[in-house]
Amino acid sequence: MKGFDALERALGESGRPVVCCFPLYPPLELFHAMGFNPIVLWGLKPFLASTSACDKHVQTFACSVGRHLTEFLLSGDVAGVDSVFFYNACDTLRNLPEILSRNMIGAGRQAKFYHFHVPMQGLGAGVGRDYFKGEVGRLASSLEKDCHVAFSNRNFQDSVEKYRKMRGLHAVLQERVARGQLGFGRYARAVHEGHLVPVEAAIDTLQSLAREPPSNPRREGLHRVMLSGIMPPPPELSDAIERAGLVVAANDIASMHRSFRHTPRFNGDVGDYYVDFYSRHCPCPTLLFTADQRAGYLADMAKDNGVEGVIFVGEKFCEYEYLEFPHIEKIFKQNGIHVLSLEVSIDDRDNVAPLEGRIEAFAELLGSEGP
Amino acid sequence: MTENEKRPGAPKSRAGQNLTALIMNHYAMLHDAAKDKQFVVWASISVPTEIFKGFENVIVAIPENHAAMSAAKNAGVPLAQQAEAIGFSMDLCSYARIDLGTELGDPKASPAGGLPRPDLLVSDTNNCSLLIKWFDIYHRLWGVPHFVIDVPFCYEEQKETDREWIVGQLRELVTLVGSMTGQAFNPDKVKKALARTNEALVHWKAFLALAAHRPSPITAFDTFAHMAPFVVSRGEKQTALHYKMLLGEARARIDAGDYPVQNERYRLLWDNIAPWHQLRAMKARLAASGANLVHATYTSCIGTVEGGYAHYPYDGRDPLLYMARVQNFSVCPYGLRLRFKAMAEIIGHVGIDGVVFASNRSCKVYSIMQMDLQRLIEEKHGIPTILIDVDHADVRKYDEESVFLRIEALIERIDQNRGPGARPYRC
Ligand code: SF4
Ligand code: SF4
Repeated sequence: MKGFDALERALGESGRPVVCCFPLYPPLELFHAMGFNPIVLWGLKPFLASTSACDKHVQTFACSVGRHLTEFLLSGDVAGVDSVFFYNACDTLRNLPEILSRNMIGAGRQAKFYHFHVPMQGLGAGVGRDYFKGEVGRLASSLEKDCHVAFSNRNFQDSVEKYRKMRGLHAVLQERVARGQLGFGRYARAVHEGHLVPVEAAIDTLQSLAREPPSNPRREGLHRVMLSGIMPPPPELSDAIERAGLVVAANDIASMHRSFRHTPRFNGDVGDYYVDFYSRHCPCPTLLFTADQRAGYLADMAKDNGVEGVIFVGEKFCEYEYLEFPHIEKIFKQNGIHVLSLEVSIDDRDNVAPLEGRIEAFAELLGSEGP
Repeated sequence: MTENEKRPGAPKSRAGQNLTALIMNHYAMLHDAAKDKQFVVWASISVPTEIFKGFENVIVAIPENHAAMSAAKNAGVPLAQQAEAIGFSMDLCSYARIDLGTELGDPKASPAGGLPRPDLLVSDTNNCSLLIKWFDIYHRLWGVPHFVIDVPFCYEEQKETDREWIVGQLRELVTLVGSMTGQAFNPDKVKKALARTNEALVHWKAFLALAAHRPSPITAFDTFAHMAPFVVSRGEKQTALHYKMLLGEARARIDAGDYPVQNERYRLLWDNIAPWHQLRAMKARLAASGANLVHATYTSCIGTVEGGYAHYPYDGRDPLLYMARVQNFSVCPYGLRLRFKAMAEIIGHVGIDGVVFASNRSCKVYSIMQMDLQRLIEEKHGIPTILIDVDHADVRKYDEESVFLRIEALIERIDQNRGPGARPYRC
């Protein structure tokens, strides 16, 4: 596993058992409060040399996210995965838990699997809300039983505050990116490493990044774009975006802004906390009940941040994103915002030259209309 | 080989004729009823459509059935291309592309002239999650309400809490339809519809069970074609009658010694959605070589729950509770353990020599996990398997020669397993 040592060290030093979570919006605070180190299995590509272990189990038409997290758990290169948590998401991820558990057990690496079901009809009121609170309660009880630790409101509150702080730092850093003071690629890398280390270590990294002097003195003539997709573009593309004279004024990346926008207040009821967490979550194609809010949300985000163009970073084989693209694209175009749609597949991340050319052409298009 | 197959172009069996009439009437009825301003629901295949029988003049169209029929009648590609031309990726499920092409493009390419515009969309996460996004497109475009039945993923036997959650949603659906149509819900009519479905499924399961006979009087291709009434006209008398007729014909074939693959030497199981564009060609090419797809996981699950083989009957009681319970009928979204259980049950009941896993780029929910299932079947049952690439409704993603090369390899492995006296096989 390439360059994973530092992250693994950070996990080891914390002395807590590791729970690997997918997809992106798991109940991190709950696991943390129960004594775990929750990490989110996203953005693993830089740490993986290949997908050879995954290729024995998952067809190549699964997205890179699913294949990389399978590789991560099945390759056996990572020591100390104690548990895995998943909740219901897309058609690729729903099939993975038993593939993972069976083959991890087969390789002599026992990990306890936890999950809950987020009602995709919505959590607004009545049955959905009650059902989901039951699901959260069931998960908390399983953790209490397995960890021999009683759930404590105080611990949970402490964990909530840590995650609030971490998410708040993301807002600060995105603002620095939007001002041209921090490269988007650098920020994206810090975010993805942050998903894989203890929240305390992530906070330290983000704080030092926030204190760094501005890295990009150029402020004039930059065209403001928004990035949208499941994953940020690969580092070479992020660099290409900035080299082309574009600044990432806002991001609607699932593993970035969508993950960090909202931290609820804790009223003493952990079920209520997660009802709030999901029902007021940043709209995302993976949370089916947010579908009606998404176009308006993105249009406002673009307007509030003075965005001139949107770059969709399409994750090849992600049906959720691809079924919404035509509609979202139409909305932006109606609002006079240019759209560039890029598709990044598992191998394209190593071969970005053709995409760079399209980014340059897009920057020229925005430039021809003036800032 | 049946008489029909011996003489291409020979008239269909009575059940075959009845099926054609039933489906043609269904699509004609949809268009006529919509003209009459009846309330049109578009529902996905896992929605328990008997629920709408609790209201008057509510008709139900199933876009997946329309897509399958279009693919079977060679209209799949032109319709999918219409969706691709307006920006939908070719990587998306071919059912979705065919349907979006029909509705957002020119519906004239559809064998049924498309579907009448819905008043309500009802989808179900137990099909797949993609389908919710597909229906959402119409919801946004036409301003039609979209009701999502959220079913917890099926990795194990349905939990009581999950059942209650589904029942709660079915109640909400009843309230919604009642308010949109201005009618009161009549649960007795739903009970009656469920009783008819139950009767249909008794015949269906008896029909499927005949595959245990050697040679088998049925093929999986028959089950693909004849699942349509269950999909489009559940809860109706004609559906029960159709399956009774189908069963009677299959029994008569045994009596007459007239089998679809007269010289049946290889009994295969199919795992995935039907290859709609290949039904005749694949059936004929297999049959010519003594191979019969005697069962398919796709159709065998109808009427069961959670990987069982037996019919899960309606007990005549609370209809919403029963409909919630049988939400776990469809094998495609099961987890690995239940998928394996379903296949093991078929192997045990029917007798299978080899398994064809159709890896379907369009349908991730059905396909991802097949590599592990292959290993499990080979390890636990000693049955050879192959993985072939098939898109269920997009013939552009199908290569007959490479598929049959693999089938040939499967047959050779079956022969090897049988020992030195086995006859060589060629496709
Ligand atoms: S990128 Fe899309 S397909 Fe892949 S795991 Fe995420 S939601 Fe699923
Ligand atoms: S992805 Fe599969 S289950 Fe979903 S609509 Fe397509 S064929 Fe059906």
